[in-house]
Amino acid sequence: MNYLIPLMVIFPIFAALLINLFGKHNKTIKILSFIVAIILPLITLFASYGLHFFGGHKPLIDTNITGLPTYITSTNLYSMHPAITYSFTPLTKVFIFIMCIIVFLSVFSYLTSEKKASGSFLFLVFMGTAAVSAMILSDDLFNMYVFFEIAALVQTGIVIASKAEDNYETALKYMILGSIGGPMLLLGITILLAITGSVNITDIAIIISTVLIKSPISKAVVLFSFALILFGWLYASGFPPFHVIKSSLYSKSESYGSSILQAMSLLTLVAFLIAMARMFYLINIFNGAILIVSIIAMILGVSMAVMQTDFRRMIAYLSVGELGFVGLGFGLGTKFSMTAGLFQGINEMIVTALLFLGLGSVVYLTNTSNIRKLGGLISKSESMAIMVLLGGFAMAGVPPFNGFRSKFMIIHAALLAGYPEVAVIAILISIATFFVFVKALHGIYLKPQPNDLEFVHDSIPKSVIFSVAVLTIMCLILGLYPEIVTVPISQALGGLII
Amino acid sequence: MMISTQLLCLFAAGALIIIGLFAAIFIDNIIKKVVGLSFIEEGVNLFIICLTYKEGGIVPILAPGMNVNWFAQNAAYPLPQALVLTSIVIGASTLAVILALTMFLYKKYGSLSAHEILNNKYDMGDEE
Amino acid sequence: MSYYDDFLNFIKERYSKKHMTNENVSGAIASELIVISSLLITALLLRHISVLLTGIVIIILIMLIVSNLPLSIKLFDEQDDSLDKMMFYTVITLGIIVSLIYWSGF
Repeated sequence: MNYLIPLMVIFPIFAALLINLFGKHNKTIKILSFIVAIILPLITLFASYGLHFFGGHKPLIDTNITGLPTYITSTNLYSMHPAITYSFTPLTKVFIFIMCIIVFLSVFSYLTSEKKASGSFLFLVFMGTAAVSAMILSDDLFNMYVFFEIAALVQTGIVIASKAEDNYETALKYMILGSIGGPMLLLGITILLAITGSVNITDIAIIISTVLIKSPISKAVVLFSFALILFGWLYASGFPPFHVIKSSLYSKSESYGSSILQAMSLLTLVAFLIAMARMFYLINIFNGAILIVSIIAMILGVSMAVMQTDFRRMIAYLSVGELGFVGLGFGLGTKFSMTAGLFQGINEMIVTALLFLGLGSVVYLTNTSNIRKLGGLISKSESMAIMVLLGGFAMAGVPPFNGFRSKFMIIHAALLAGYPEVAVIAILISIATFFVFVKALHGIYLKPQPNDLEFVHDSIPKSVIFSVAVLTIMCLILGLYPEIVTVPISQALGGLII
Repeated sequence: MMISTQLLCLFAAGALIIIGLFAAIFIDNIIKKVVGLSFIEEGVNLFIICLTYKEGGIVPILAPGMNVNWFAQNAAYPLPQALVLTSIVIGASTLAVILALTMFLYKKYGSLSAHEILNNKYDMGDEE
Repeated sequence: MSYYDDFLNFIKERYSKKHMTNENVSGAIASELIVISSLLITALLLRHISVLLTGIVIIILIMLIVSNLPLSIKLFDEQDDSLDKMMFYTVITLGIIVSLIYWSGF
């Protein structure tokens, strides 16, 4: 048993509580959160793969207990997981590690560019990290639901903690919509609990694929629960009809907050997508449903991004639209396409964090995010402008960046799977993404500077430039050596999906 | 025909969820809307409790000297009861955050109408 | 160029109180093209179910698109930040997802 696995969740929660306790002491929480942010990725790096059973309750099949009656050994009871199980695989390692890096860079930029650090904001950040790590580690649906609600509360909290206009209204709207999305997800989970008697994903997957799928009556119940879980997943990941509120949420928080928020949504999306794929893989409409939802998300997200004049909103809609690619990979239903989708998820997380942090520096300088009032900012910081441009290239899929690799893989997978239409749509959406970037970059950096543009700060903090540079280098490395990520992902996927 | 208690409970849960969805769309006052939305949450909780209901069932604690087979047939399933507690706590904390935000917005706008407070349009970037 | 003029007039009418720049217009036109092209291509996915159905759906779709131009502005208006609209679409989506998946899964 590896004790570092639960520590990935327990440590950030503990750190969050500690930081909240010292909320008044500015220097203490700054040092404390910096140390915590460094330790977080290290834990992920040093933990070894395996399962962790909370309370040590292994399935009976793994224990040395002998002499059990046959009505236990001959049924599913023998292999049932009685404890909350965390499984740490190469896939979860990659996702949690990248999330922790983004948290570190965002927290680092936050600590150095704000004079007074807010204890409650840092509390929320670490709580959110713990919640999404738990979600992607957990093999237990109810545990995932609990952390899903915590993540929703944390996202609301991060928006409330920002200084943007109308942030309370947006937070309230998100919560109100969440009180439909959350219970529906729970209802789906409890229906599965009612027909399988377990909330463990592995158990449910085995029972559904061996028993329930065969009879039409029980299949109807499974379909109903799939529909409800799909709806909850839409809320968690910000697919339509929740793309409006999700993008509004990103644009109403500080740039450090948004970069963490989008990483949290992405991990939630991936965690539930893998869980759904494992449980409902054999249902004939699973792939179709995910495919259609993803395509609609891509079309609506990108077409809305094109029409925005607020660049934060633009990036927010783009990130929602690009999330569609992750779903696309799962919708195509082959192992290669799923690997491509998850790889795209990782790239998306890095690139969107880069853009939120990089363009957040524009808000830091001028206190506005309206493209019409901006212009000529390339004179303020050339390096930042170039890095944001490279980030835009990475998101739109220009070689040699990571976005190119993953999008190319997805398009290739679509052609191999016999869906050339999907490949065409993916290319169209990439072109539109590029269009949005050209528009935003021209508006912010290249067009002549308006006379009435006032600067709040004179220069961008070095730490923000450092963070964005690290993210750009990560984009480049993943673009040149995609095997670092794709090999562990495809290894882990082979064991996960039955 | 005698309707079983479990079926009755399930119908009540369904009714609560549908009332909640109705309130979510048609009621304008935020407090009333939120109360309606908490109906959905409570409906789901009621559904979870119903799952474990067993006519003439016993508490799932195996006392010494109890026949194991008899116990297995009569004991209620304890897992959903444990889950519903967590679910209630989550619902309560979500409700608390929503109500706190509502309170703040009431102080800001002096109104509780969702139509007035929460319907701000996009700015196309040209307020002035 | 008459479609462009129609489009411009429509946007001007809609946003007459605010000042407009070519950014809005280029954005709206790009969005229009993306929506139309990707909707039509998405409809092609139906050929995996039935070719005849695809033909019918595409003809209906083209008629709907032509009669509802410009789409992007209308879509934009539907997806604003108001809670009423979001809630409406949320509940509608819940209904569509549950009923479609429930009935089409057999």
